[in-house]
Amino acid sequence: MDEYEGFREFVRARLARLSRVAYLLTGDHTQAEDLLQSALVKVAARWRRVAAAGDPEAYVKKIIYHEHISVWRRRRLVEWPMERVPDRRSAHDESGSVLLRMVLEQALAKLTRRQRAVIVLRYFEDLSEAAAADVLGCSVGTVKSQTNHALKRLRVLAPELADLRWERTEVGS
Amino acid sequence: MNALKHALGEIAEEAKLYEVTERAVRGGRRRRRVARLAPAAVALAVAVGLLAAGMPGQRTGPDRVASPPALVAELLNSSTRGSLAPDESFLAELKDKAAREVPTADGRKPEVPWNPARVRVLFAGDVPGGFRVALVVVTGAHPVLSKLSGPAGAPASRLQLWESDELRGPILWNELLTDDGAGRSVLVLGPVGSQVEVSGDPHYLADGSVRRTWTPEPAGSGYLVRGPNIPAGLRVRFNRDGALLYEADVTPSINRTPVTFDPTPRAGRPAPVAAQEAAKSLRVTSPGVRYVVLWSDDLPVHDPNGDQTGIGTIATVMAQTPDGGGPYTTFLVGAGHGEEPVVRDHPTGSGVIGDPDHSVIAMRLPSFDRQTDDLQIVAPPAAVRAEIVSGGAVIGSTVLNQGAGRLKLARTEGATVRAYDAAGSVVAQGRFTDDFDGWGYGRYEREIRAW
Repeated sequence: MDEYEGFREFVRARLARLSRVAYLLTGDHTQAEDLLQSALVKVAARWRRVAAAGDPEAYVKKIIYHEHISVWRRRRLVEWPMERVPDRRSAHDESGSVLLRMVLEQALAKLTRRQRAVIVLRYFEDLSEAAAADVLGCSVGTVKSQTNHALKRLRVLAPELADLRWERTEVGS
Repeated sequence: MNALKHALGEIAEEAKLYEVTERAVRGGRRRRRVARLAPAAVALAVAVGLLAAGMPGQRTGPDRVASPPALVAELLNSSTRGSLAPDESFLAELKDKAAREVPTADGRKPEVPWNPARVRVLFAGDVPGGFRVALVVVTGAHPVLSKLSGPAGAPASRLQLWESDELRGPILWNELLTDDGAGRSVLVLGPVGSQVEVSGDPHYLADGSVRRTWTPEPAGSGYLVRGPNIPAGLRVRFNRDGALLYEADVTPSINRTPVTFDPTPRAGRPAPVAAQEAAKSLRVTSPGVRYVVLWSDDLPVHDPNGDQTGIGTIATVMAQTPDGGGPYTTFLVGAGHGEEPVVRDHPTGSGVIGDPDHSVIAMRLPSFDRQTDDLQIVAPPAAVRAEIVSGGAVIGSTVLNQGAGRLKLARTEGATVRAYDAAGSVVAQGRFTDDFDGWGYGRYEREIRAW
């Protein structure tokens, strides 16, 4: 029996969603691909056990988020000998969702990895605080405080978005 | 619909389908096969890390005046500064809070508090704009700097952790925006004993240099606080023993005010939209400034997400001041395809030049995809040929049309660019390097880190 039976099918079925999460977390195609690759290598190595546990998607997501946060320091070294000079988008557009998206994209890049992770979990994945805490392996209180820090920082970094109602009623102060 | 969720969804749509399945499987197998070689792998990783750390020329600026470890050590050994430096009870409470909250290397809250003996407070005090801020470091092989902020007068327990990062040199914190978003406060901190100077009055001269009048801050303080109304173009520098240690823009410099000018380029084809986007991003608004489109053209764009793929437009625009020189920038506008066009720029596409009739620009082209080897030359219209020289050898050349041309050039950490007229005389000469670590704190005049 192929030890990866079902793994390829699983990834292909979830690839679009997983790719979006990886891109939201990193904001860069190359890093997103690296993140996803790195996470899936770990999952593949223990696929039979993961599949047998019955909820591989939840497991993969945990790996992705943890992998994202754990490169917090490592990436500084690997980014040093940059082979390609970075370019960036500029928010030239004065109106509409394009501006919103671009401003938010730049603001997200300035959040800490953990803050970015809670924003993606809570507002893209639409997870509850408890579920987000489970993915990140931390307390609900940590998710609350990280979410508040992240939202507060987004408001500062992206004042263009200040009129948006970002708060969710269950987010404590 | 929740606007944040919607915006996040739009960003997520930019993702590609990363083809990782097979590589994941192969990588998983390979990973397990080499597991027994882990010590060798670690040794190799360390070697690669050391090689990477030793790569020359990753920073711009003058000769280095301190190694990063020495500079970090100087910061760590500096006394606590700020208005709360004499308040021992506040500092004790702050250290206790930091020991409990400063995250570990993987970004997690520490399960066991840090040893308070490892916590150093570099700065604690109130700054203009109504903020109380603190800079705290947990020492170690990789010292972790944490920024905390709260309202002026707040006890240490009410300060909130803003962010944590590795301490690598002088600290510039310029994201302290007032509640109405109209004001901004900054804190810049270097070693005790360094001399801080500020300048808000740049003169861009015809020879390409920038003349500034620098005003010293109180001697020996080694830090600067300003706000909440900071003039555009304010720059700060630290000197030590007569040598420049650090220089940077204090605040971001992007301007969004549209400007009026003739979009006809000196070289290439008109690209008025790209030219306007570039021109209005230039921050120079003083009287007598003249916007000059040095080069504009059509440019094929490949966007992995498809929206911007097609023929885009690109423009390099200079704000020429009465002193003869000025800042310039380059913007690429994607094809759009009925959607809002998207603009990109590139670190090598912005800077300061002197008289454009005696200046040459060499830059990589902005891209929606991976960086190419294309090097764009923008020289005076009289120039007919350009050469790229490194180590005494010509490593690239191209014919110029109205002073503009393009060639393929592999990444270089420093080369001379010469533009020749039809008689073979050099009409302009400049430098080019791929050695940019993004924009840093300085879009036109670069951030200088002399360590």
